[in-house]
Amino acid sequence: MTTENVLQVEGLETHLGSREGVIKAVNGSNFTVDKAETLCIVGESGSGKTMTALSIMGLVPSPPLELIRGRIVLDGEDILTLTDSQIRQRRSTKMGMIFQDPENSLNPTVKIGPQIAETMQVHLGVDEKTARSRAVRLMDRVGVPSAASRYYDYPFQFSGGMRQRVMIAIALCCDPLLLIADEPTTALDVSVQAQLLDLVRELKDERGMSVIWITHDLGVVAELADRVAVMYAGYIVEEGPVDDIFFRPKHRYTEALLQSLPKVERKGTVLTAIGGMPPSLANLDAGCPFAPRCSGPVDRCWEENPTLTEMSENHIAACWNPPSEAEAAAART
Amino acid sequence: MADTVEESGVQPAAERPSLAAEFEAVKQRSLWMDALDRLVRNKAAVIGSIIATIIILMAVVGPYIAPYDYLRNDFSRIAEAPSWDHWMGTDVLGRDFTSRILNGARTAVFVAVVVLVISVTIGVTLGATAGFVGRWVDDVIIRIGELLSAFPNILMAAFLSVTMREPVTIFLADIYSKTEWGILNQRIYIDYFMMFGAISATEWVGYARLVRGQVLSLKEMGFIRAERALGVPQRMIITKHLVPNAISPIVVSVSAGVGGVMLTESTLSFLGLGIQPPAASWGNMVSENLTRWRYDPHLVVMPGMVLAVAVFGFNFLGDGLNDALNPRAIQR
Repeated sequence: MTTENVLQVEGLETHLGSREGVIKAVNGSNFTVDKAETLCIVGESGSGKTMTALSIMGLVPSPPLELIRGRIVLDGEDILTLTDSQIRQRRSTKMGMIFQDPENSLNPTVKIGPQIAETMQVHLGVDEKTARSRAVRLMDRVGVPSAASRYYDYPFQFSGGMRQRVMIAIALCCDPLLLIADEPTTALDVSVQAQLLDLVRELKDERGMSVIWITHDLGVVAELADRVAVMYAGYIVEEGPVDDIFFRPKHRYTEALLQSLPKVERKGTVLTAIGGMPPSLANLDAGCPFAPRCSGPVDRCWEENPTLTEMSENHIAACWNPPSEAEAAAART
Repeated sequence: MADTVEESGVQPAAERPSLAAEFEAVKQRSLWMDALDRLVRNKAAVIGSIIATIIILMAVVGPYIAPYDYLRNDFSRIAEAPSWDHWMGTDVLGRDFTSRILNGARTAVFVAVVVLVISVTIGVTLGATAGFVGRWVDDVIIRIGELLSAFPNILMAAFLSVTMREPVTIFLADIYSKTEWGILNQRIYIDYFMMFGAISATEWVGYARLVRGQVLSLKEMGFIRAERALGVPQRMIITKHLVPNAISPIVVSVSAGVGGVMLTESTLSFLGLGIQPPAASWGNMVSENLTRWRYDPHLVVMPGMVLAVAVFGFNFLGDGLNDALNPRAIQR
């Protein structure tokens, strides 16, 4: 463990209660995020991406939270051992989060500027005037046009993309070490999405901030990520540098995800989809959770859940029958 | 200025020096100021608030400015038409009608205010508890509310004032014999207590439902979650983010509720189940003079008109507040 690690997650398990039983939303995740690094977490809906993020933020709603254990070390402190009020103080100053839905993420009765300023007043103890002048500069920085005159606008007067810029400004106003973005561009159109990706990349470089970007859009991953973690059914099934994931995937699920991307060369043909449905997290069978949908399961896949093993440098995957280079190449075309 | 920028960690690529100056020119206005602005631009709301103010003034100072004692009979001048010394005439028992209308305003406003204070307190407390706690607490509170509101509220209030008057009178007389508090020995106050209880018994249900719905929907709103993710303290989330979003529907329905309660009180008094004569209520004034409606229709029309205008006024005000408190209605 070097000081370069901003975040280190070890054996994180987050279990939720439900009518069908305990849902193992996050099932023993290990990963680290280095300083100024962008980690993308990809996976289908319900694979545990958001729960991982909420666990780090200490925001898993309770109920249904049943159990959370493991270690989440942020800047040398284990989040899970902190009290609620200590975690609250770490939010914004050490970790910031932006959410998927810019429509709902701003209070409709409070004006834009004061919503940004409020957070700085809470955490940095600055007076209202200072907070205000910083907030207006931040708005300008994140690309709100004529920031000064829009300071006292209501959220509904902003477009979705502008609201998401404001959310980024709020998340960054106290200069966190780590920004967690939970599919922040999903609700936006592609051109706005591209602008926001550029903005986040610039801000990250300016501030040397680390980013965890949660998405199911592999295009965003290619654009933004330094490293990628692929989640399936609450497990991290593969993790590695972005080039390895795209060009040398070592898990059948990653391979299938890449295969399902629409490609220009195959215009006019039916899109490839992964057959079947993700398993219910309430009752996982023994064996690899992806086996029923896998293109190349071997006998062992049905009996024993694969553990993460190092496939190449910095590249780990949990697969008994990893796709070969040739198969991976075939998946891309 | 330059050092504050550095502190906040923002290093703008191209800092515009005019930004601060530009910002000073923008004036700040609060949510409530905006709302007031929108309220005064709405004609119906302005009329409503003028009427509401007049009715409340009548209730507060009415009995002091009343030209005659509202209980004094002048049997030589029974059921007179409006004249210079009796502006609205006299009723079937020779009492000055203007004075009775003014005292009726006091009854209407007093009952409405106390009933709403009771109902809103109970309703908001139970509704917020139901919404926040959920599970069986929610079920119990909502079922009790449903049970009470299964009866039409006039029927429920009538039932309660018929059945409870006797026990309440005995109970209050009992307390009076021990404490000698004059307030408990006057018939009019017993009437008031009956009205407060009978109307509040169903009136709170609406507020409880409203607040519960607000709490449930706001609890799930993204911005509440976002505020928590920003590490804003719970107390601040409640005062600055939950309450302003939850309060406007309550303000609106309280304002409309004033009219509703006045109407209920008058109905009960008209039926002889509410405020008993000789005390003045717009409702019992109508029923007292009903025998003379063919010869002196103004004796029936006057209290009815005043009641109708009051109810309209409070409803207009409620509507206006509804529009005013919605920030989306802002005119740019």
